[in-house]
Amino acid sequence: MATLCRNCGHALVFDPASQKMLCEACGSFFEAEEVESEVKRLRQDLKAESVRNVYGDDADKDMMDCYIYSCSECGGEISVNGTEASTTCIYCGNPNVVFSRISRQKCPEFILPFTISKDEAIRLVHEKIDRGLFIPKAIKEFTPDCVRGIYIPYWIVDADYTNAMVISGQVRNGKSTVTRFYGRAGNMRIRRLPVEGASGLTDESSMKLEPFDLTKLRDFDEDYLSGFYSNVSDITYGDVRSVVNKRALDFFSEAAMQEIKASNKKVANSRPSLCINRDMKYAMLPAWFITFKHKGKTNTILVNGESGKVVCALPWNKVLFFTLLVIIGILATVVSFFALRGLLPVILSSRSKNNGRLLGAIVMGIIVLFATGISKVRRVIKNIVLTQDKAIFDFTKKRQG
Amino acid sequence: MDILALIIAIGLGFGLSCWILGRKLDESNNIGDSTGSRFQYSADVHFTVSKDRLSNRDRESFCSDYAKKLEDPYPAVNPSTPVRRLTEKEREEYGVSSDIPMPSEPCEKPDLEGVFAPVD
Repeated sequence: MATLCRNCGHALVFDPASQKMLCEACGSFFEAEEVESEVKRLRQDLKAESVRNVYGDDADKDMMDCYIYSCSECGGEISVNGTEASTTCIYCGNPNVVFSRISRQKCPEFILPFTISKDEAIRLVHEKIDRGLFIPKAIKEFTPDCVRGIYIPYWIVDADYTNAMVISGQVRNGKSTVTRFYGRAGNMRIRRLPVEGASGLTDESSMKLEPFDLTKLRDFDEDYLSGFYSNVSDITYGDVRSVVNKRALDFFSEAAMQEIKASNKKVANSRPSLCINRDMKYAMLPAWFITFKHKGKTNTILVNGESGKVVCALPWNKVLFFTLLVIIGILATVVSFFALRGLLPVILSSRSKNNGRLLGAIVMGIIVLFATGISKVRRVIKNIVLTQDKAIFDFTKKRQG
Repeated sequence: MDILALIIAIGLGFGLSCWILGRKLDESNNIGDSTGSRFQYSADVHFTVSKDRLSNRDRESFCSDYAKKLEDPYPAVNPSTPVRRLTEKEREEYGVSSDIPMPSEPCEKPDLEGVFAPVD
């Protein structure tokens, strides 16, 4: 059900620029908290019918989890799945909030309203990718297939964590390298860690949207959802525990390793303990999902709806990359060859004990250069897979409107 | 000598090229590849035991000697139960009042002094 303009009766949408409810028909603005309409009361009694009731057992199996509502503007059929809380009417394009079916325990307490508008999000994406040396021209000139502003459910978590950890690291001991072991035990208190609550999204993608400025959170009001899509949380206590445990371990190991002066540091053993404050805060945080097709594959770019942070890894221009690799490789080889042709005879004729060590260091340097370069390329490829992930595309696309 | 210089030069040249272009590709195509750092969540670690050069025997026993198990004050919950907000009754029952400052209150760093007694 949409909240209607008290001046002209058109559906109101939340406007990120003014942070107010906007009537796109007559241009009126209203504070979201001020819009105390009949609609909010009516929403309490809003009833949905399951697809099975409407279409019987012949309904499409993919639709079995959906619920049917009527659009408050045109009476058209609105279908939402079990976790959606707001959507757009496919017939008249009006925003519809279907929050009534959510019980109080499932209703968010806080919301971080969009501050980045749709056009701004697209502009930010173009700004980022236009600077990309290896991004193909076709992607730089992309036209989005679909741009959706989605409020993602998050649980804001407080937790205490302790760990006793043994870390191995390599240090120089005279001429050789030895492995040493270090012990670190301690505790930490994590405050306001956002844990994404939509099972349809991968944690790896949503974590990259961080940080969100949680000091800007407002008390939840469903009018903020108007004009955007939204989901409710469908994760379990086990999911939350697993995410917090992983993040806490990362934070603890990072701090422990910073204290240790050694190379190739690794956690050899650890015994963590975690206690999560059960009184977690439930909040809706904003993100833009922009999808486009390139060479038959769908890519989804995420934009933090509050900070404007752009998250994506895009396919690369392989021809340009390998051409530059060969050109720079040849140039650097020629320079190195002339330098080494002069230096090598001097080094090798000195009969010093350090000759072998110097050659060893050069070979090691070459290996490090290759390994670092290849690891960067592999990281990009891994993140491209994430950007082209079907799950994130389905999360965005499988919505009405 | 020239052949040796050429072999090393090829390694250095293409290694350097690989390193430069790997970094450039990461900068160019891998956008926003970062997550919130521990400082954003006030996760300052307070080390109670720091030991360098652990012997083999210490290494085996370090975790069991210094691990501190935190007691969960809440009743056990089935991990497959969907997460939900606590009711007012539950909050009173558990004696919890979340100290997460919400909304719009500044998040201050926690004072860890005295919260955890040093183990060592």
